[in-house]
Amino acid sequence: MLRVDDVHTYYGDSHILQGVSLEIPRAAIVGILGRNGAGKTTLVRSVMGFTPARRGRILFDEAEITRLRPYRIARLGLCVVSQGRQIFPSLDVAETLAVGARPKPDGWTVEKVYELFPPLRARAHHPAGRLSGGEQQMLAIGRSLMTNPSLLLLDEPTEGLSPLYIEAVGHVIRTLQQSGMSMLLVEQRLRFALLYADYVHIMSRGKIVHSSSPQELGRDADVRARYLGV
Amino acid sequence: MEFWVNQTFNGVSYAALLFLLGGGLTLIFGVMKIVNIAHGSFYLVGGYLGVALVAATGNFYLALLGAALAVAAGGVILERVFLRAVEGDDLRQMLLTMGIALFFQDACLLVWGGDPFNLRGPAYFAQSVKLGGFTFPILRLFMIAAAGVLFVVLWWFQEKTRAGAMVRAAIDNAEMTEALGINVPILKMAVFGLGAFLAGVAGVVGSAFMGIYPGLDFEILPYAFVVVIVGGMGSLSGAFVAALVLGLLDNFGKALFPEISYFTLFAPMAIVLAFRPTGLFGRA
Repeated sequence: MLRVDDVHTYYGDSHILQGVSLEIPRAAIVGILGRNGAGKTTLVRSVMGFTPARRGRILFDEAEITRLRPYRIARLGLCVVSQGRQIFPSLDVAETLAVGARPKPDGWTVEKVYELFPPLRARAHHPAGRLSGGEQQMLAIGRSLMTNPSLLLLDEPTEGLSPLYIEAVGHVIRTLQQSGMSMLLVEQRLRFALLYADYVHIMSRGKIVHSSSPQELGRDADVRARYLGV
Repeated sequence: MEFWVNQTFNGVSYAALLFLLGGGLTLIFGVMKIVNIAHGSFYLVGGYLGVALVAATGNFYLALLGAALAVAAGGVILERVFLRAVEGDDLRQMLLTMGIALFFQDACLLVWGGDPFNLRGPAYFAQSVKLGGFTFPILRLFMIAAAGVLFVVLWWFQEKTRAGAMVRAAIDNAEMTEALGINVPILKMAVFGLGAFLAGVAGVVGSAFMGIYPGLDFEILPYAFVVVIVGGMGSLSGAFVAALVLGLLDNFGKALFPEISYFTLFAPMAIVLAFRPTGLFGRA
């Protein structure tokens, strides 16, 4: 469904992604692990079109999206839950869910998002900036679901969350996968990624340095120590 | 008593002009994150076009609408053709608006010459309404009504419509807004056009109030900045409140302490910046 083919991305003159290739099959969760500064977020930004790749190609459902504007990429069925949640402080919860909604038959509705995340219903008319970190993460995921994506890019969705919320996010990821959604799951938490991903890549210095099943990585203490420090 | 009523009224009508001027600038800053140096030019061109259209049609309201729409169209074209070309580079965009401002300064001098113009409104603008022993000039009442109506309409649009929520989302976080599939480039163009429209209205109304002449573009620009900075960049309600506070302060300052009149307008800005660097309604 998504194919990243030898992608090179720069910030100004710094060469961040140095030839990254990977594939995300339909209804699969592909995990990306790596230390800070490995290029994980840059990979997400390149796919979403925020920081377009300078070389290489990115294909989504066989269509080239490498240099499309983010809103065009989004309309093809791709959405991102960005690191740090990126909530709109000027909007309340209901407005946040409605603002980017692209309804689809049998797709996500405000009602379904509230069923998935009950705490949001009670907060419908609260400013989004006043929600707790966990509630903001629910809102960030809900906001993306309202665009009815077929591929969701999750950039460290458990960052800064309490164990209870981490479990809730994991549960949602499972639910979404069962509904046929594909996901790119960028994570710092090894255990979380191993639990939910169907396939994992480790990035280091802008390259993919290890690819395997999560079970294999779980057994390979040497790789974990070398690239993740755990 | 008469002094206070008259000065308050004058202050509010001056505030109306300040809001028309600063409201557009704050919207443009909010969505595009650039300081539009050409905002004074939009005012100037709007004023001159207003004068020309009043002369051609004899109808002030037609001239007001025509001039403001023409300035808005010009703004849309400038955004689309020039600012878009250096998108993502805030400094270059700002320098470009500086260049645009200098261009229009000379272009206006070339077209309309160096003499000042007075924009002639309808005859009743020169009359007054008497109410409870006080007299209120109709021109000033019109300024207040125009600013009031535009503020209410814009506030309703921003707070109560989905398109308005898109604008607020883009002010908060343009990147995330675009990732939801919202066409942010079009949004920016529309907001730039809207800001130019408001400056055009201010130009026509302002010209009826105090005339128009070369150099006025850069003369009024600091006033627009003060409104935006005190109100908080990107906040329409902030611009409204700031314009009101500044209009009243400036008027009473000039009436009570004429020798420090410039101080009364810029001192509040310094105080607000010292205690709330993001402005009264601003976000960090």
